Order: sequence, then structure tokens, then C-alpha cells
Amino acid sequence: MKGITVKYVCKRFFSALFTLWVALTFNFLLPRMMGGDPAEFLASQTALGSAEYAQQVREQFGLDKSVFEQYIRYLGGLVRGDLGVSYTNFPIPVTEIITQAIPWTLLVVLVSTLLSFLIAWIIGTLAALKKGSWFDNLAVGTSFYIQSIPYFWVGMLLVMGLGYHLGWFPMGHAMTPGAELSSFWAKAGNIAYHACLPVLSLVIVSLAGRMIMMRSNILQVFSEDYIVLAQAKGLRRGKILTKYALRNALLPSFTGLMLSLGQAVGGAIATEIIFSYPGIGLTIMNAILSHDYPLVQGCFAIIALSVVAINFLADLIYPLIDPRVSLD
Amino acid sequence: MKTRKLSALLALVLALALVLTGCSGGSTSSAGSTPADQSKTSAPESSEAKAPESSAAKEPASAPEESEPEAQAAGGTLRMGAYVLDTQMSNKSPFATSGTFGDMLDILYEPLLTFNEKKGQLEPALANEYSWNDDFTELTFTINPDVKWHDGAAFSAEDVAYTMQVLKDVPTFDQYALWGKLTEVKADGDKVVFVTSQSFTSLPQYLSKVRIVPKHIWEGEDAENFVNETPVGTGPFAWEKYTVGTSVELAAFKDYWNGAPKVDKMLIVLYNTAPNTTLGLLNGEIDCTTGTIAMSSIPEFTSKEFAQMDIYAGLGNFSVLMNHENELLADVAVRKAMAMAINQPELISRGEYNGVMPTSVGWLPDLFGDYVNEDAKDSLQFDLEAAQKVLEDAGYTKGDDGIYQKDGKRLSFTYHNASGAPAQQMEAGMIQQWLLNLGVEIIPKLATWPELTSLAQTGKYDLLQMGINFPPDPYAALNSCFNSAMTAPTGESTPGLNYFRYRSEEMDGLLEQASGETDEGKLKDLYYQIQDVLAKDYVFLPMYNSSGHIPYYDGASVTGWTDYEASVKSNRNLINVRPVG
Repeated sequence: MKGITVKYVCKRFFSALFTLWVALTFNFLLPRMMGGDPAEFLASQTALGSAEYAQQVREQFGLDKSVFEQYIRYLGGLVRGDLGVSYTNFPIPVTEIITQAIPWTLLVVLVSTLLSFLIAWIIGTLAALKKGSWFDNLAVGTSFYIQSIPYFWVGMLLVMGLGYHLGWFPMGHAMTPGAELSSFWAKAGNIAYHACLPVLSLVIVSLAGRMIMMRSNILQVFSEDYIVLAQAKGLRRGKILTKYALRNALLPSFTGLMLSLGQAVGGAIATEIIFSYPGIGLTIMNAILSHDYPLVQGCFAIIALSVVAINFLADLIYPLIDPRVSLD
Repeated sequence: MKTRKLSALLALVLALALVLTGCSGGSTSSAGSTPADQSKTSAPESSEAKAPESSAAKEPASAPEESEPEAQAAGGTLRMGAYVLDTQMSNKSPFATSGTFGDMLDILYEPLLTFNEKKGQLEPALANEYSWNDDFTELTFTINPDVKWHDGAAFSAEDVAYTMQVLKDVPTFDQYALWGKLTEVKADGDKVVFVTSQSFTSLPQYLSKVRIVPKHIWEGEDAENFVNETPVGTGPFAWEKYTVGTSVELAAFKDYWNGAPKVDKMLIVLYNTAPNTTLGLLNGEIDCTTGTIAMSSIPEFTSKEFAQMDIYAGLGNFSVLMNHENELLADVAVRKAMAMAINQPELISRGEYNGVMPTSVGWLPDLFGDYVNEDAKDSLQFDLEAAQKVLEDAGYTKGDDGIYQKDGKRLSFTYHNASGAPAQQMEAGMIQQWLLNLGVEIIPKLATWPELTSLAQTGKYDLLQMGINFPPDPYAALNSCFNSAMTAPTGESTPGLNYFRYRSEEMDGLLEQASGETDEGKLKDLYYQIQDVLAKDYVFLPMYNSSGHIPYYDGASVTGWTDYEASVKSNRNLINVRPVG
């Protein structure tokens, strides 16, 4: 554990805690600044706009309390792990909604993030090693092309092409509607099959940028003096690559990976919409549109927490893989 | 050493390539292992011997029709698509006014009387008949003796009394404040008696919105927070299971009072968005939807074999609200000219692909049957030149910028409409252009639905495009929207739906008379007069009714939607649906 001191960990921890508090406070304030009253909206939709009904709903939601009191309750709840009760889905607790949606999000987003980084690293490395070859030109050329296609378009092409017209993949859902899947493996297979298009779409759009970054990292490292020295010493390319170049070239990408992992919890709204896939992204969007404050707060709290936690983790790992990072 | 490391790297690349190809290759094998998938996407080919691949691409449109023999063989399943989010499935309480899947709850649970939106009348459900006392303060229902709960228990008047007690105990469930007028609900043998503090002639209409729950199950629960994990109702289909984010399965209830359904099962397939629901429909994954279809896909859908659309009026109107406290909009000539400048038939055909019915300038939609004043409805016709003449006769002159003005005041208004709603935005664009053609300047503004409601409620708008919902009671639909007691000065929240800030003594007087009227003929006459007043005051710019528009395939996989007097998604129709053949 060379390089990590108690002081370093404490400093990072408290800085992470402060960041979290700021994020959580914004979570509380932003939805309330949107304008519009959720109780009045509900009354206008279902109860002839009755003011008495709106008032009863307000009391039920605790919106009749002062904003400061609501804030204290919100922070108090967070400490106890209680994210409150959703307005539009009253009386369902926010934690229940989130825990139901998160596994699907993590499945699709985590798998695609990891796959995309792995493939990007490999293709990027191979392209850099064979700079100027047909493989390099093809990889870079295709990347620039794919990079310029917006995500929703890729998703729609996959749904319409592979789903609707060819029928190779389901057009949506996490499982076959109404299918009797008795065994664990049948179920797992069905879920994996349904996750293919969403994962594929996410990999396609995120691959290009990461691959180009990896390629230029390798090229840059290869131009460093110590690599030239290694070459001059007569070391074999494979050894230079694995022993000296890769580790340094991977560092910037590692930061990107950690950031992406932290953001994974935020879900992929477009993916969920296009593939009619369950997940947290659409939950957040609809919570915002219907001014469901506790649900908005809860979702963003989870996102903030995971981004901060993963960053804290990255801060701890970084000195281990890059001893040049100053600890103080 | 070195070669080993390099080959390890190569192996990794190879393994990865395998994973990638496995993703697409594995799909075919897993499709083979799940029969349900096969019947869904590629049934026609697999059932008609080994057809070459090209035939799949050749006629994708015929997929739904040909998949039917297989679906039938599977035991007769009615597949209904619904645009419903996972979060809406967490709470299955039939009392909750938001955040639930209402169409499913209407299949599982029933009210005493059903309101038939197509005929605009009440029909027997859990009660066979009802009668009033002379001064309309006591309403007695006779319970339908054939009704059973899904768990086999007998349905009784006690269940009704219990349900009403829950509404009393939890005010947020009593959305129309029925207990403001009710004093007692008591069960008496096979009868339930509703006692009110004043005459309440529309009570039966409101009770069509109250789903009755079984006392023996709810009694032990805290009704306000009970999320009803496994619903037990009286409807034609009973709860079976829910698969997260995918589907709800219901089983035919053989003891249903109105006859057992002719299919064994109902599969409700859930979609995250309207376009996905539509795609599933076009692809033949489902036999009908709960009313969701991307309007722009109506032409493509109806061109398919067996495709049908059931269109009827609903309990809500879309319109452009006008704030009558705005100095210029206070002038009826301005409002009239603007109403005449809007091409309503084109709005409905281009904006909604004729999948909806027009909002009447007299407000009441067709579902109120005899109460609808056809003359008032037809009084407003699109005529741009006549509209401009209305303005000119009222002393307005066109300025150099093409905008009408009077006494130095230009006809220039802000126009709010919903963000994140593409159809709403497109229609707003059409209306804004028509108003510009008339010579009225529009400053467009966007807001979320709750923000729009708040702006409407506090009157902080000039023009605002939104929908207004009401219960199946013509009096409530008119009174809550146009009574001056239901509005407030700009800046304050309205106590009702009179967002227009419309105040008319004539209107208030007519509404006052209608509120106590129990004679059917006189009531109809009063409603006619009210609609005439609305038609001459031009309170709002009519758009369209938030109609039912249900796409369904009749004869593809299932058939039997023969009851054209009721909505195709009504329980009355669902029990007749049977597999083809």
C-alpha cells in the first residue's frame, strides 16, 4: 500500500462528502424551482381543480410545511436511507421504485460500458501498432463516421432493421411478454437475448471516441524517449508494448472508465425509450415531467452518490497504478 | 516468455470476437429455445413449412394475420398493448387517483353502474337497478345477485358500504368530494342506500367512477397505504401475475356475472412509449391497445388487413384557453374573430389524423347524448375573411406590420403550450400560423404540464393550450369551468376549472337553475341555453375532444368485437372476444 497515507484518504473522503452535500442540496432545490405545484396539478387532472382536494394532497405529501422544514426532513431521511414517498405513485416508497429499476439499468449500461472500453482498448492498441495499415485506416475511418451518428438514430436503425424487418431480435422489453420460463437458464437466456440490441447500440456509439483516444495515447507513448531507448536496446515490440507502453497509455482511459461507471446509474434514457426497456432513466424523466419531487430527489441522490463514490475509489486506486500522482 | 504474452493478447482478442459474434449468433439459437418468441416474431414462416428468408422481408404486413392459427392453438389469448410504465404497476389500489394503470383496474374492478362513453348512458354492473326518493336525497341500489369476487366469495351490499366508507376515511380518494353531500351509505340486505344532504341527481354518474373493493380482503388493511399486491375484483378477468417492465397476465374469470370470457387468458404487454406501443401493434405483437397509437401511424395501421379503429368522444376537451382579464381578450369581437380563424377540421385531420372528435364551442362532448346542443356545436365555422370583418367592424385596423390594432393597442398575445409533447407543439404551430393569418401576433412559450396548470390556475397567461378533464356529469363539466364562483382574479388560484376568468351573470343564473333541477326535460332545456351562451361568448378556442381512439385487429388472431354500442376495450366487449376459427 505504498503511496497511500491516512491523511490522503481522509482528505479525499471529506472532499467527497462535501461534494455530495452540495449535490444533494441542489437536488432538493432544483425541482422546486421548476414552477408549478404538484398538488394543484393532480387536483386539476382528477378532481375538477378543487382547491380543497389540492390542499388535502399537499398535506398528504408534506408540501404544506415550510421549504426549510422539508429540507431538514429530506436530509434526515437520507441519513436513515429513507428517500421518501413518490407523489405520483403514492404511497410507493422511492427506494422501492429505484431498486426495481436499477438492476435493468446496471445490466445494460454496465455491460455495454465495460464491453465498449475493452473493445476500444484492443482495437485502439492494434490500430496504433499498425499505424497507417489498412486496419488502422479502416478503424479510424469507421470511427469518425459512427461518431457523427446521433445515438437515437443508431437505436432506431437497430430496432427497425434487426427487430422489425428481419425479426432477429425482439423490438423491446427485458423479457418475452407472457413467456413461461421455468428454469433459471431459460430466463437468463431470454434476458440476455433481449439485452442484445440495447447493449449493442450503446457499444456502437461509445466505441469510436474511446478507441481513437486509446490509439492516440499509444502513439503518444510510443514517441516518448524511454520507448525509443527500449527500441534502441533491441527489446521486442510485444515486450515494449505490454511492459512499458500499455500501462501508461491506459491511464487517461482509466479515468474515463471510472467516470462512465459512476454515471452508469443515471441510466440511458434514450435506450429505455427506443427499446421499451425498463430502467431508471425513463423513471427520472417522467418524475421530472410530473414534478414528483421525492422521486427526482431520490434518483439524483443515488446518481450523485455513485459518481462521488466511484471518484473516491478512483482517487484511492490512482496512486497505486500511477506512482507519479502526488498524494498531498 | 515473450511469445506467450503476445499469444495471450491474441487469445484475448479472439475471445472477445467470439463474445461479439456470439451476441448475434446466440440470438438465433435462443430464439429456437423459446417458443413464445417464435410465435411472436416469425410464426408465419415457421408454420408454413420452411419458407425462404426472403418471404419474411417480402410481406411483413401479413405477419399479424398469419400468426393467428398458432396463437389460437396456444389456448386463446387476447393480447392488449398498453403504454404503461413500470412505476405505475407498483400500486394496484383501485382508489388511487394517479400513478396506477387505470385501464387494467377497470378490467379487474367494477363500479355499481358503468358509464358507456359511446352511448353516454349508465348501464347495470354490480347493481341491477336504482331508484330515487321523491326529493332526490335517497338513492337505493339493488345488488346484482350473480356477482362473485375472483376468490369465490359472494359479492354483497356490505362491500359497497365498505368501499364508500374508505372514501370517507381517506379524503384524497374521494376526488369529487362525494362525502361533501353524502350523509350516510348503508347496506340493507341486497340493497344499498345512499343518503344525501341535498338533492344530488348526478350521484349515479359519479358512482360509475368508484370501483368497488371486497370488504373481506381490505378490512384488515390500512386502505390509504395498501398497494394491493394481488388484486381481487369482480371483473371478467382475474389477476395472475406481473413481469417487471414486460407484461401483466390475467386469467378469464369463469364465474363472471355477465358470462365467462371466450378466451382463456389476457396478456397485457407494457410499453414505455407510444411509438413502441404502435410498433408492437403494426408488427402484430398485440391485438389491440388500451387507446394508445402514435396518431401519425393511423394511416399505416388502417391500411393493414383486419385493422379497425374505434373512435368515440371522451371526458375531456383540448382547447386554447383565453384569459378574459386580458384587456384585449375581454372584447368578445377579438375572441370571436380568433375562434373563426382556426381551421378546426384541418387541425384534426393534419394534427390528429382524424383519430379524435372536435371540441364543441358549446363545450359538451357527444358522449352527453341528448344534452348536446347541435346548433351551438355547428354555429362556429372556419372563415378567415369573415373573421377579419368581425375585427374591422369592431373598430380594429391593420397596421403596417399586418397586425390589427385599436387605440394604439396591438393584438399581440403570449401563447403557452406543453414542452416535450411533439403533437401539441405541432398543433400549436398550426394555430399560431392561423392567428397570424388573421392579423394577431403570437409570442410562443413552452412549459411542462404541471407548469401549464399552474399558469392557468393563477391566470398568468394570455393564451394557453391544454386539456381539461371532467367527470361523466354534464353539470360538473359546465359548472366547474364556466361558473364565476369557480374563478379568481389573475394572480390568485382558481377554486375550480374556470381558468378563463369568464364571468357572466346570465351563465351563473342558468347554472344556478340547473343545479336544483330534477325534471329531465327542463334540465335539457337549461343545458341547451348554457351552450348557446357559450357559443355567443366564445370563451375558448375549440380544438378537439380527448377522445377514445382504440386500434384493434378484428379477425387476425382474435375476433368477436361485435358490440359496437360500447367501447372495444369495455368489459362488455372484452368478454365476447374469441380466438379466430
